[in-house]
Amino acid sequence: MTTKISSLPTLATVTATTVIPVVDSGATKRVTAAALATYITGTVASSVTAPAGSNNHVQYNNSGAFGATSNFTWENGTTLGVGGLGSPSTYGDGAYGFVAYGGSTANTRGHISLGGNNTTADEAMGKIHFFNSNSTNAIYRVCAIQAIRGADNNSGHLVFQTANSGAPSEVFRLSATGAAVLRGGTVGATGVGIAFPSTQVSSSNANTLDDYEEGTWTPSDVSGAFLTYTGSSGFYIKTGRVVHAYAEFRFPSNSDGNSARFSLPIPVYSSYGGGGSLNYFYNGSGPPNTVLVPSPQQWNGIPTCTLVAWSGSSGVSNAFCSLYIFRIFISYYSET
Amino acid sequence: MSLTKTKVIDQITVTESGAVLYREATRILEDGVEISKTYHRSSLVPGQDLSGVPSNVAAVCGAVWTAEVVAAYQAAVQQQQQP
Repeated sequence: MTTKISSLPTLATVTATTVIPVVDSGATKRVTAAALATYITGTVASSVTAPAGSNNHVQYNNSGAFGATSNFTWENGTTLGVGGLGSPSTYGDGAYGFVAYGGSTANTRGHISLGGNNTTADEAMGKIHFFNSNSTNAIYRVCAIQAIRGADNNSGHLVFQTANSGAPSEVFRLSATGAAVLRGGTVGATGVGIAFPSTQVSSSNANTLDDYEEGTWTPSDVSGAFLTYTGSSGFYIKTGRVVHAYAEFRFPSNSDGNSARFSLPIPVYSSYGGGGSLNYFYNGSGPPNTVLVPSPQQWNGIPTCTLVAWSGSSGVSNAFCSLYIFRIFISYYSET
Repeated sequence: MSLTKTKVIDQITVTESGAVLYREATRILEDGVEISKTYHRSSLVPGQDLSGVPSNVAAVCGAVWTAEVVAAYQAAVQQQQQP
């Protein structure tokens, strides 16, 4: 440890006529320490208070006292601390790092500010990189967090990047409005919610929700008779592998004997995928005399809902449904 | 600030039997940035009339619906498999 001087000694008054005895008259002139001490008052400390840590620290302390806390400490050449800290290396889980510490009020807490001078949307304003290095000194950037400019100077998105192989790329974004956008989701998503990719990226994990989609659809005849429904409309919601769909349409006047089948918006899992309720079934002249149930299935490779008589497993014919209006709510398990 | 509305077929799925499922995405863009998107799904079975069907979907149907595919679909319909 390097000895520190706690206070600077002061010299006694030395005038132009003061003579300090010289003990060596050779080429090198010397005086004895005892003689010199006659002219020095004060003390040189034999031991002093060390700064916080060892002698490879740099410490700023505006009160002049070593040890305790400091507003700036460069500890062991590895850990930098600002704020009222003792040993900053004790605040993290390793000796290398940076610690900012403050008080208990909002304006005095520790913080780090990153900024840029950006005029265009999606420009990075600040970025934190995470990288790996091996013994050959190769650098592999594997993750990053960055803020990018939004549509205006006072808006921004927070972007998270990871690398599975190669350079990091965006996998998650918190948009300016509060939408959480997953990889492949609409990056301009508005509102508050979770934005999934427009095309599902299926997960094989049973605990992973990997899809959400909502939209409208047009139920159409898939019985092979090529009938044209009137007033055909519907909506659907797909959450994971569960599909809820609503269909509304009217059969044309027909005498076709094929089983009544209409299309579904999302492929069905296997042959039998769900069920539903037939909320309305009416041909304008009186109530139906048969109870029907919708039966979602992947029929002949086509997402299909077959209209089946309650009294048995038989599907009713298109002719049976002639001019009937249907309003049907269906739930089923999808293929993916 | 300019608003534009675009409609594109953003997804076309062909099933093993030749049915064509497609999704139309309607996007509202503000200065080129998407601020709204809605979907509409439709499906077509082999041999179906393609009047009014978007051209790129019709092109897929034309490529997939060979005489053999249409015949196989019609044969399956005639079997009238019941659930």
